[in-house]
Amino acid sequence: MTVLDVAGLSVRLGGNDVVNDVSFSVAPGRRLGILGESGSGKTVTALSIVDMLPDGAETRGEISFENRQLNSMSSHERRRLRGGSIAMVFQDAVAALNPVIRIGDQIADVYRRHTGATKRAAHTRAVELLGEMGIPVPAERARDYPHHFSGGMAQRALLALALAGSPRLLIADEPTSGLDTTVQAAVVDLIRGLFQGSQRALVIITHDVSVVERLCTDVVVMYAGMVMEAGPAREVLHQPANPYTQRLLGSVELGASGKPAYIPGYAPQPWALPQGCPFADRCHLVEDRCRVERPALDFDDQGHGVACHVVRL
Amino acid sequence: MSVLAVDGLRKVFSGGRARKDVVAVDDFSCEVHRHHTLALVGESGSGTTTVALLILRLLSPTAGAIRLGQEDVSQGRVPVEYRRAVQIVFQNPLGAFNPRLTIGTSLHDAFRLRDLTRKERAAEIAELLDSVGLDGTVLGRYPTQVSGGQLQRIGIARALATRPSFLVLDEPTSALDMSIRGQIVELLATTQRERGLGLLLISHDMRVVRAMADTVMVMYRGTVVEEGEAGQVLAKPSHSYTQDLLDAVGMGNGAHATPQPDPKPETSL
Repeated sequence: MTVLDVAGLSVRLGGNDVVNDVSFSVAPGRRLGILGESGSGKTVTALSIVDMLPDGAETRGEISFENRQLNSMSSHERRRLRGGSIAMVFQDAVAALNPVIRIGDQIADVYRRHTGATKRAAHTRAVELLGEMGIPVPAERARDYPHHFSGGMAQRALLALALAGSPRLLIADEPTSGLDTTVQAAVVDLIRGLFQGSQRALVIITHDVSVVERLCTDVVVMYAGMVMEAGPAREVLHQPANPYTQRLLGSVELGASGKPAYIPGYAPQPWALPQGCPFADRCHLVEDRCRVERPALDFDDQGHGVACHVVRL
Repeated sequence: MSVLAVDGLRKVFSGGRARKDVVAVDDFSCEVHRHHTLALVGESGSGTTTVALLILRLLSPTAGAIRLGQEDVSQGRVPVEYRRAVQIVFQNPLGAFNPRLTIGTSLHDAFRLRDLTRKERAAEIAELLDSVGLDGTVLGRYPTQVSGGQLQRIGIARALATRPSFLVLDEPTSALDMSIRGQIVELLATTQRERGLGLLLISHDMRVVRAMADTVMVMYRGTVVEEGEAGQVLAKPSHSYTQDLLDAVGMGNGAHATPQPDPKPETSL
């Protein structure tokens, strides 16, 4: 049984192919990181799952939640799933909260909608959830408005809000990116604590390798709309096979000279995607074939997959 | 004009009727020489950005002196020579360019403090673009039509248009993709070497600090809590907050494994 199944997802936005043939699945209790840089299509992939793509987006492929196809559901059905069984948290937590409603009331509202609890019970649950998210004196802070909260606190409140509907799948889009580095670490620890040992599944969108390292069981590495590498996080991070993954991981560390290593060149713009491998222009192993033919994702029997003409597992 | 010297800088934001005044920066002093990089490290609310805005005189200090050479520019009208000499590269290049102007127009604008003919400007723009690793093809584009890394290169070129001797770098890499941050660090280092720039680097990314800084000052809630030679501070931080920052990017010795609870920011601009 899988919680989430994405098969051959492609998304066209404003005439550009921003996601190309992306497939992955998430089992209960697994934490999948979608790792990619700007323009890699990671956020659009996440938004397709919760049916929040901008108007005019054309999608192909199938997305299933607990073996039910989301594409064939009515928007009413999908709305019922969203916020309940499937919840999402966003990067800018302060903006994601309603600025004119007290934090506790926002959480209680979600809880009531999905459980039918009384107002009083919902409020109690909201305070409880805030406490579980590590917010000190939750009963008092529940009466605050979002602007009273710091970025880290707001992200905790947003997590409480997302978990109020007892989701079986949480999608988190860069939940730590806007936060100070020391606060980021605390929020990552919190999320890991919330998921470790539970059957809840997590899909976390991030550009930060250390978030994947500290939080995820599995990872999908995306570049220019395409999956470059996928598999168990430990495997992919410690034995990256795709040249892009290797050099991306390399840029996180300092080189021998003490200067940060980097990948020369820039990622292709979505309106100028090359015909072959999108990384070919920046790749040190590039061959003629890479420029004309897009490599397919090939998996070994450990579930580690790589899309590359040159490197094979 | 070889030293940018800041002495006893203080900035208090008035809280208005009902609220307390906020001391954003208290008793901050530093010297930046040409060819020298001072890194100012601290997280949101620590006062680093306020220091930058004060040095750029986009804010006026409540007290203290800012000197370039003999002249104190901390109060009143800022001399044009100071504006030319001290420029800034912003964190988010997309926010730092007017979205409705082409990159070429923005670059031409940057020359307003210098008396050049249009032709001279064009020649210098071509030179600047070349020095940041780009060519004239970007001139006709709008900021959203180039990548973040390219736009940051253009941001650096723009800052150099006035031929400054000092640059304030406010988190110059943190809005950029990991795989290209090193490109910008390298470009800044080369630019500094070639032009003998003094740099004030604001960052909380200790990797960038280690790669660029000669000296480091760590700020916490408006005051400097640690300062010293970069190698020294990074290898043996004496303040627990510095240790936390190093741990956050895996550069610490792990002595302080637990991160601090997020402090509620006391300043908001």
